[in-house]
Amino acid sequence: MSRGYGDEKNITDLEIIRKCSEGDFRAQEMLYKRYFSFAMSVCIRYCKNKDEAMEAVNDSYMKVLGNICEFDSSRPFKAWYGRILVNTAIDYYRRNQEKVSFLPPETLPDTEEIQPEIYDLLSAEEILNLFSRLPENYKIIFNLFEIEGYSHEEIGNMLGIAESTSRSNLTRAKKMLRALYIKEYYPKHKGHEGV
Amino acid sequence: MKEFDEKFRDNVKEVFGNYDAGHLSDEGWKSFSSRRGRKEHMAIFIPLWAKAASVILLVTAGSLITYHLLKEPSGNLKETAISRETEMKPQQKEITAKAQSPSGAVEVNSSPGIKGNNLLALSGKKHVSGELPSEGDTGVTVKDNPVDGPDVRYKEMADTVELKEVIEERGKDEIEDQNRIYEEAVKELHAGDTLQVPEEENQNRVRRSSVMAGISGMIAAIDNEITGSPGFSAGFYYEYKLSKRIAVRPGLALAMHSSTVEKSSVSSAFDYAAPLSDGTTGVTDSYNAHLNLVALEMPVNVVFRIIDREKSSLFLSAGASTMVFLSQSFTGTFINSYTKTTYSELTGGMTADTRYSTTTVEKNEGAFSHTDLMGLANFSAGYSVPFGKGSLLLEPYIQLPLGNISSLDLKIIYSGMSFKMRFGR
Repeated sequence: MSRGYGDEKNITDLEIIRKCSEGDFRAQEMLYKRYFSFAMSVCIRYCKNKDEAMEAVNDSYMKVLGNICEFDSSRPFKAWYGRILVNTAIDYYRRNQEKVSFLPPETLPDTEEIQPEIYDLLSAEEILNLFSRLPENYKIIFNLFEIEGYSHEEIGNMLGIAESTSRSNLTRAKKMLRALYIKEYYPKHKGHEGV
Repeated sequence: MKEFDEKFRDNVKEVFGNYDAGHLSDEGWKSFSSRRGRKEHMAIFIPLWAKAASVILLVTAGSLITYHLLKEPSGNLKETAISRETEMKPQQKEITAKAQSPSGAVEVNSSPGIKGNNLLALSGKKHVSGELPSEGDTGVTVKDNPVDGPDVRYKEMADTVELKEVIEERGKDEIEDQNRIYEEAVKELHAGDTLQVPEEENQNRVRRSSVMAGISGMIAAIDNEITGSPGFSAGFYYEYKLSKRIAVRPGLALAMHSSTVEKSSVSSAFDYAAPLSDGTTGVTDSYNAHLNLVALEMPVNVVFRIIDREKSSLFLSAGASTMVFLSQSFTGTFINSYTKTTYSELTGGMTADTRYSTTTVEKNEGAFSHTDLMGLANFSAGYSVPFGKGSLLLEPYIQLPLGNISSLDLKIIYSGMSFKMRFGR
């Protein structure tokens, strides 16, 4: 008995995935759109802009459809898809590594002793602005460790770097983020508090 | 107070945890679809069974070509001999011998059978002494003259040198010589032709065997229930005549069948109800299942011609088919009823508690996962009529299971009509 697509929201991931594996085009679109925001939220943190992020999402989804038969239905789809998204984003980083032009050194305040307070939550655009000013490898390591929760050993294996390099780059990334935050947003947010 | 790093990390997690890019999803999907379209154009997905089928078709096509190539030399042999004869005849006419007087006035045309001595004798009366001259000395040359026959030339010569009687007499001898030489040449030619003897054997062999291509439509009955969708098969067959009326016909076909099966009230092909250990009995109450089978069928049949006319024949055939499954896909929804009968101490009677459960079953088997060796018995009756350069065979058939076939262990009966095209005789 086949269920129609009228009640899209009620169809479970497993049901959609099963239809996807049968080559159901409509189900593939449904799955793509259902997880599009999630996929973009991952890729945009690793990529330079929205276009590149969308490209990475599409590449990842291509991998999802190509390997959907290997998906372990006892585990959540989101986690599986998330890993594919991260791996694809890292592939983009590797591919573009040679093209990366290092940012000109910014004059950043020394933030060794400063622990700025985040008064208001930064928006996605503000965070992406900070990330865009980090060197690529710092940004990747920060996201992999702090957001995705990978260990330094795993990051080292993923990026082909030493574990200690991953640690030191993370420290530098955090330092730079603090400095950039102070430079870009701290006065504003502090001022906002004053208002 | 949280440290900045922790707060910042939580900030990122929260913001991107609720990140909404839904407004871009349509654009993204459009981009994905067009990109996938491009990739699919670049790499067309070919399932394993289709690859196997392609190989089989290529092999069969190769066999067919080989068969035609084998057939061609024997059929053309007579033509070759005839063409050689026709080449020979003009040659013997064309070769002319020119006997010239020292002044170069006399020209004698002759056949290739005329020897130097004859020429000398012929021309000797007027010009030549008894000594055997060389070609250069006597002016005896050989030239091709495709227009004039030897008789005409002899007459011309006779008019010129006035040796009419002698020449006419000699001419007769030479024509006889010509015929003899021609016959010898033909014999020689045929003696050198090594294909001549095997040709007859080859022709016999070719007459005994033939190749056919066929398609057939079929319906299936699973567990005595006729299924909803028809099937299809296509393949190639080779027939070898054992005697005038009996032939053996192996083949190779790709068969595809898609069946929708529903449970009959009488019996059940599928049963996915499990009896429980607490005395609960389970039976499949009803089901609706869909079965897709793709198989490589290798039939070997014996054909007996009941009526064998020059242009048509009526035949019966029987044999067995081996099935190699390339793809098996089964999906079904089963409604099972579980009944538990208990003794009630209060009423002193038996009470039955029946509950229903729905089970969905999905099974997929890949290529070459299952083979049924001689799994089906084939029976057919057919009629052959001339069609183009070959003949068309119309053959209704039935295939009965000799055991359970496919990975699902089903008793499937196939019945349908086969159309075969026989190439050549």
